[in-house]
Amino acid sequence: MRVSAILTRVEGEGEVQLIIKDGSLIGVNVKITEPPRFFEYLVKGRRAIDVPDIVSRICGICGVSYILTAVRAFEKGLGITPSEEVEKLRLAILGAERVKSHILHAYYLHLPDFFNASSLPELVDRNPLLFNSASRTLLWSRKAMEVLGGRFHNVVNIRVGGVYGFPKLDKAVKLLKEMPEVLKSFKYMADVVLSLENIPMDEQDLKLMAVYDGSTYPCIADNIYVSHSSEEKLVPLGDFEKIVRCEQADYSNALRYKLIDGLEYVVGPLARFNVGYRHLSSESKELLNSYGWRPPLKNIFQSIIARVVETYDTLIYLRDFLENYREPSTSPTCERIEPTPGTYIAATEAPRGILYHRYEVDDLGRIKYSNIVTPTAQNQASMEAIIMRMLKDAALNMERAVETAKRVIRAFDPCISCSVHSIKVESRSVDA
Amino acid sequence: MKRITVGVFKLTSCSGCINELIYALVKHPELLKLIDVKYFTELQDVNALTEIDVAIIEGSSIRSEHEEILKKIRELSKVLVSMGTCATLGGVQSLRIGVDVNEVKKYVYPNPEYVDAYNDVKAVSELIQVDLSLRGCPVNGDALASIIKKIVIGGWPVEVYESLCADCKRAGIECVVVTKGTPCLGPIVSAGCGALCPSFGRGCYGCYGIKDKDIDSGKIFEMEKALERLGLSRDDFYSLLKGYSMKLVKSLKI
Repeated sequence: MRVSAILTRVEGEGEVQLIIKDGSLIGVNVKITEPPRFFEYLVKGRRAIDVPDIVSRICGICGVSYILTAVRAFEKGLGITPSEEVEKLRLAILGAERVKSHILHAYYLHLPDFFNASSLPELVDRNPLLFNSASRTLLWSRKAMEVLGGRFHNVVNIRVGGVYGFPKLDKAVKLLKEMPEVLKSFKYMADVVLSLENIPMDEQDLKLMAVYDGSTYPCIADNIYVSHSSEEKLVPLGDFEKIVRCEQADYSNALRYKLIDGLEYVVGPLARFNVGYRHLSSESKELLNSYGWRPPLKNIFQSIIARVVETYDTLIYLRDFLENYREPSTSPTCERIEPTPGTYIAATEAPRGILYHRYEVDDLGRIKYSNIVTPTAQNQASMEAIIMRMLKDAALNMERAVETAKRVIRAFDPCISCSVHSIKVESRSVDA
Repeated sequence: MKRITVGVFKLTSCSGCINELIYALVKHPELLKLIDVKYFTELQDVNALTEIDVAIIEGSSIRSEHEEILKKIRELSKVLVSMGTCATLGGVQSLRIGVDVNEVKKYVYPNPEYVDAYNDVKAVSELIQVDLSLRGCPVNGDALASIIKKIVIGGWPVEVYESLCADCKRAGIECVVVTKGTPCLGPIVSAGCGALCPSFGRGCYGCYGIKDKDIDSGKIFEMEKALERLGLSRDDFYSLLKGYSMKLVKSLKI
């Protein structure tokens, strides 16, 4: 017997399917029903300079991560080092996106689960103050993205070689003026989440992976941190495609990534938090510790804790950036971008985890081949494995089982539109 | 005031416009009192495909299943809105048009036979009657909020039809073509974004789509020549038109 439910309060279109035989759960299928858009094909034949605007549209929430990963790949391969001012501005845009994405997920999509509410409007009715505080932070992140990057989605101000323009100082000052109030609002929301008493605390055996340079909180780097069977290691980014494998299980409907030895792994805020806790600002650590939260987080439902502290830490970064911002007199970009034939690779921590891009450029300087590995495609095997572990020995109440499965998936904050590698496969038949 | 019933549906797209809609609800929470949301999977758990006053659609159609869904939504709704560039004009996924979809599938997927998509990418209005088309990649959330409020009180938005250049003039932004010789699609593109790219010293790349009433293939050809002189190749110019204005590229036969 198969029980299916449409995924709600997630970005994009998907379903979860539980496969049951003789009263026991024998399979879990996270189905991606999102129509494919073939992005690897869309960038084929395009110039490197055109790639960022195209890949930005893979995701309506985390487009900056896509833009910056592509930009970084070409810059690194071409030996372009943007000025410090450019790097800081681009990281600020990425930070504003992280705030936006985390608030959207943690407060508007995920938090209703912890209050047994079925939607944002229901939560608004019950706790208007919480809603107002979340809104204050989200609306500020929008203004920040508009001032620094042009708009909330598909920002226009990042290019291969730099940025198109530096924001005007008066606009940055205006953003900074609102910061104390934003931090105050955010702390109210953080208080609600960090004091939740119904976040599961049991330990799940999670293998983690994050982009990590060893000295700053995971963001953009040329190494990948891998925790695997109590062993921790840093792998050079160039070996990423060697340590993971893409597989297509016969009961599944999507390509999913696993470690080369077949184990599933987790990317995203929880992985970043456990790897990078010591690089958080002292203010962030203080906030967290005052509620008794300490690393490591060991259960996927605790991802919301990592999202909250990352949001706070990013707001602190943005405050410092704005406090020190002066309109640079240097050129915002290196004008001549002419990729030579070769391979261009980069990885960024998108809000949901590792985002990996590889581009092959031909003799004419046009994209010949690309591989884009998204966070959700990497988390999919873990979603199924965790649901399986949680439900396999339990006496199955169908309604509750489906609800649990949906909640596990939601805790990952899946970005289904992003998972461009996911494909639809007819499931094998299972005896009822 | 009677609340209007609303359904929000997603086809082939990135959810960027849907997130603009969520922003609109956050920025203007009074909207939540004016509308009764019947279908919106990103927002709520309980969803019903039922008769509604207003259907809002994000995304374009890439398979026959989408055409069936659209016909069903049209039957159920009084007013149907196409939200954003994908729904209104096709969207960036249209860049693959002109190549056999089987080739495209093979290029991306190891098991292309499992992927359901046809050769074309169709805007909503190529399939069913659309009452209101909103452009933008993404659509502007504040405009969206204002439109919803107007529909609730029985009004209708007034269309402003002008090119992006008007936005630049109003905002006092220096023309990037005149001052820097930067290729810019502004003269043939619909206004609506507030001239974002020129405000950062960058040429418009047309994400609101080309204008649909006074632009013919002759004018597109003139634009192509002008842009070529500024360094934008014919191929790159037509890619921008395909990526953000595909429905009009089809009707202009360019």
